[in-house]
Amino acid sequence: MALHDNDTILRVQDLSVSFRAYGGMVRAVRGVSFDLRRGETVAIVGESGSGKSVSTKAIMGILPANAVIEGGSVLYDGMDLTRLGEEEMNRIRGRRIGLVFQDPMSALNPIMKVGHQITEVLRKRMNKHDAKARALALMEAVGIPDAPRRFNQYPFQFSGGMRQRIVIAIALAGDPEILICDEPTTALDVTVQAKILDLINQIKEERHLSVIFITHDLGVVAHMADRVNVMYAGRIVETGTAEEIFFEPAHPYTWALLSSVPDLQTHERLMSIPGTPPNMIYPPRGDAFAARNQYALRIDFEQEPPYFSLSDTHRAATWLLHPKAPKVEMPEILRERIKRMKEEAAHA
Amino acid sequence: MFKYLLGRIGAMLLTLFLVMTLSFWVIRLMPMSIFENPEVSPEIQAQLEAEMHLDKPMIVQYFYFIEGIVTRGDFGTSVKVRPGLDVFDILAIRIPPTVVLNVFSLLISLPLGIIVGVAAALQRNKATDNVLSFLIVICISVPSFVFASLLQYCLTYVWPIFPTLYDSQATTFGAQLYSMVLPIIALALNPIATIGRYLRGELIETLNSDYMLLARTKGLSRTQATIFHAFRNSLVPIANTIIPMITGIMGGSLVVEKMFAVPGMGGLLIDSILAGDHFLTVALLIFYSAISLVTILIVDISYGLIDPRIRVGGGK
Amino acid sequence: MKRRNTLVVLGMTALLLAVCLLPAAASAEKVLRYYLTGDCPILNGHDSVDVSLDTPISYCGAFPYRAVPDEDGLGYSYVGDLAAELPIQVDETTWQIKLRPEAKWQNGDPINADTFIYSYKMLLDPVLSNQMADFLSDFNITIVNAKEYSLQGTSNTVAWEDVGIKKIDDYTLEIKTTSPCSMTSVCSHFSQNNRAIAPVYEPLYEAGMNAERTNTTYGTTLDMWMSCGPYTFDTWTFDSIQIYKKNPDYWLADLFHYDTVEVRVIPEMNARVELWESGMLDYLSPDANTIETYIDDPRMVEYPSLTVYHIDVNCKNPENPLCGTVAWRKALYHAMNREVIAESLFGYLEPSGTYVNGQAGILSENALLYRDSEPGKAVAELVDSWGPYGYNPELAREYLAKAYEEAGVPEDTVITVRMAFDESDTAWKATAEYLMEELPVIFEGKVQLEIDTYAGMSTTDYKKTTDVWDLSPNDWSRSASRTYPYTCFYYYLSTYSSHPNNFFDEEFEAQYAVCDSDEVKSDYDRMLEETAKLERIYLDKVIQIPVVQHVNYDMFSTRLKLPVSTYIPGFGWGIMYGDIVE
Repeated sequence: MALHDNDTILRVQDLSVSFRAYGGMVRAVRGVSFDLRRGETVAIVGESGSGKSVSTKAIMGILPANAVIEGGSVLYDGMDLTRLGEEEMNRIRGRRIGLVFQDPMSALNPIMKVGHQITEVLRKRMNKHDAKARALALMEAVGIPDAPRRFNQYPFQFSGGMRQRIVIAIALAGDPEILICDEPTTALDVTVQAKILDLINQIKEERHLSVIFITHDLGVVAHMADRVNVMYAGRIVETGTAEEIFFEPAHPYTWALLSSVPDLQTHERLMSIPGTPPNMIYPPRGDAFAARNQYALRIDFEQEPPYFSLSDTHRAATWLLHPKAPKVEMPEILRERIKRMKEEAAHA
Repeated sequence: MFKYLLGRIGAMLLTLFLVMTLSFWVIRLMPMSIFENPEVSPEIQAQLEAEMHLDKPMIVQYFYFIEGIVTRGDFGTSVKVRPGLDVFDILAIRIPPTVVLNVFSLLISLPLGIIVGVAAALQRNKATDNVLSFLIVICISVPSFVFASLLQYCLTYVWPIFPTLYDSQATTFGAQLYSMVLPIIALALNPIATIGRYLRGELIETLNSDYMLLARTKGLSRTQATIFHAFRNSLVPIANTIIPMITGIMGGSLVVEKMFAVPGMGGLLIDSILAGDHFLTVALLIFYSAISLVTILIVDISYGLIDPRIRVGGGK
Repeated sequence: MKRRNTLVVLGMTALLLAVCLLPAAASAEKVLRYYLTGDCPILNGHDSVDVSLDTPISYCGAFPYRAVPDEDGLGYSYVGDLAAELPIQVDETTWQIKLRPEAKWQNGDPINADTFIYSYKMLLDPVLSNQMADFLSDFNITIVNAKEYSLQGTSNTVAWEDVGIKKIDDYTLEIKTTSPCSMTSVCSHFSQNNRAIAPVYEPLYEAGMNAERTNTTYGTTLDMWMSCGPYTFDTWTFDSIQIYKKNPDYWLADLFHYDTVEVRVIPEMNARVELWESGMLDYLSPDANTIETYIDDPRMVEYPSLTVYHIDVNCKNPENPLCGTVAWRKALYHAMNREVIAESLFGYLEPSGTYVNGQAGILSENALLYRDSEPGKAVAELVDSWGPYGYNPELAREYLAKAYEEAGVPEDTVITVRMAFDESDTAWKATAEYLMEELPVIFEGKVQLEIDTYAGMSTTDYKKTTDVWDLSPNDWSRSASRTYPYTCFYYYLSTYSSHPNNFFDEEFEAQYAVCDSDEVKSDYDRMLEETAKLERIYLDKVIQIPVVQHVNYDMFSTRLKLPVSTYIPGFGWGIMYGDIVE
């Protein structure tokens, strides 16, 4: 059970999660595996419903009552988190692993002072006075000006960005080593988004955090992640370092995602992905993405593709990488865009 | 806040005046000969009516009534139930048992209702929840006096654990309270069920909210998160049910007091209406309306206490 | 955490148990545990017609005379209470009452002739409008000018000096009656039978008087009342309990055996039954619903009552074409199956086709009941000759046909009878429902009964609002009929302003006047004959329809030893003279 690699702090192995629903079992996560190394940011990217949030909830042990972990493990500090009892999980949540929510509007208790919501975690370990001092320090650390006054205010008196900072402060209060950010900027204004992302990067450096960053927006990932997992229909379809994913994407879904990122200069979207993800009560035969894939091969409709390694760190699950597959190039427009991005990266 | 309170109290007084006027007219317009009795000679009956201005047109009677209140603060004296006694002196004697009865019913129904609601919500769709929900439906749909007679029969006669009647001569408050246990329980069952039902619904909703998840990710246990986060948020809508609950308890206590011979307001109101003791009836109605209005005021203020969005944001 | 909660709950329970077990110290005191269904509105016997006052005033008040049970437990006799001896007859209409010199109020103040003069002057006061004034001026005896004085208002036509109540000396009163009367009548008039007669305590009566002297708050609370009787009024928690303690200084203290009398106010029958069943009441009067349970109980005793339940008939219903004809009322009279109504619907009461009650005449000189006398019996026999208690469907149909003829209404007209009653009165409600089924059967579909309720109003008030009613139940009774049987017809005279129907008959009124004449009143046998004539006119015209003679049922606990061996008419069970034997 021990982790082989000393650098790996969290290892998700073959995790499968399903939901009991009226029509049957919804297979939300199907054999997801990834490692989180110390000091590293791993991004999980995918459309809504791709299973990325469910994966993190499974890690945190806060799945809703109708969810079942059907297989796999989450190894952390010599423990399998999927097998821990409620009390043991309570010791890990907050203190070892912190979570930043998508919507800071609803994530904060509307009728509790924000100060109290932060100190709530701390009060288990320290007296009131210390907890308050600590909370104020945290608030300052996450960039909330005038913290002593803000301490006694309620969430509705904060702007969206400020609330997200509070949520981050709460997540940091337990001094965790892993921070899971579940779409932390989705609900925020574009101008605020960048600041929050900077903040996450900054505290990650300061506190030597390992971060799992979940988003549907590949554009955001560029600034954040060391490694990227692209998820589709409960499965990781491509994984690699940020550079590999951005500069040498191999999976048609990743191409589609990259194409749908609004251009940073022109703010125009190159293309969107047609169709919707499949109904996972009845997972389709073969590749789940096949129906929306303009490069789909016949085998895509018959057999689920295995992972094909492109490098030590880069793997993708698409038949296009099979040696016998026809050579398909990424769309021209995307290639140009990548080229421009590479140039920009070189300038920077 | 002060200005707001002042405005509210002003509106309350106006409402009370309207209640007073309305109840005076409604009660006086009921065709009723107050001194009607075959044993009393009609001449004496006529004399008594003249003495109380009952022979005058209604509008004149009304002005006599208002004049008494405005010039002397005199709401009149009882004519039938306790003839000759000032109506508020009568109220002063009758209020304490009713208040003890109602307040204790409320006091036990709040925590018990909350326990029922929390238990049902946490055990949603499991056996505990189903049993509780079934009991809740019974307690809400069966009126309190039915429980009262059931309790009276079972716990005073079949198993004589409690006294049948209210013990006004008890030497200690504890002993007196002991004699009120059954009416208190009878009156509390409905509010317990009401609170339980509302709280269950509200809690189930809040338990699924994001901040509950956040609370859990902080490392709070389910119970802690429920108590510290979900519970208070669920209280906001519950506060709204308190008003009908209090009036419900007071209404139930009208009958239940009679059954246990509690010398409170309930029996008095029934007696005074039946006897046509109109000044007393009006005073009682004013009292009951005042209680309701004060309750509404308190509940409105307590919204602010429970929900800072109303308190802090209210100034704008 | 859980264990601590359990401990707290256990602790609370223990505390509760301790609280209830503590004050259970038993005592050898003799306590009578009695009840009232409603509390006394006021203790001022002058101004409340509420019968509940009888209890505190007879226990804690005193009267010139007191009816006490005989040694043998078969009868009763009057003894002086506030009076030193029985009344002395001065002439035919003048009586003297010698007062007891040692009589005093609970606080030691003396009671003398001035006390009585003040009490009675106030009772009759023309502007105080005391509701019980009639009980002094005209009850068992009629006092000269008393009624005239009390009803003069502010006209100042009758002076107090003209009223037949005089102080002769500090301990002698003189009473002048309008007509000759017996010593029993005088004693009864001035005894606990007549609660208005108990003297009032002047300082408090005056203290409670308002500036216009139109009202006094005497007796509104215990502080505003003074007792002078065998018991002192110790505690009064309104609508809950009255507690009387024996007064050791009372001059006839030997007659009384309870140390304490606890009178609980219990409005609910269920609660009374439960207390009785658990042995916490010494007395229970079952109602129509509970009588069934106890009818065979050896503790159950019964005695007749003043009340004859009857149905008033409207003669001016604009919607009933037969209304107002005698034949119509006779048809209804004969259509009442009184045996069924009395037994099943009213619960073990007596059917009655006549109106003079079974107690009428009980307080007459030789205690001869009207119904047991030859003239009274003859009327009952007449009724029974029509059918059992006057019930005869055949006759009823004949009279209906006659009524159609009399009113000139086509024979196939269906008559709808509207019966109005107070919906809370279960026995009458059952009767109305019974008649609703029965009348169409008896009258072969020609008569239908419709039910109406007073909707919370009193009967009188209901009748003020509408004329559209045919039948309305009534239970008015007149206590004076104990002495003068004919007085039970009093409410059906046109002179009685709150009369319950609108039918007046000259012959009937003339006969009542004959009965009410001094000549007839002073000759009891004659009075019985004239009363029988009056009752025959009543039946002939069907002034209203008698249905059920009320019977009182009482139960006494086995620990209570009553002073009498049987119910003594005019005296009752003498509960207050009883004893507790455990």
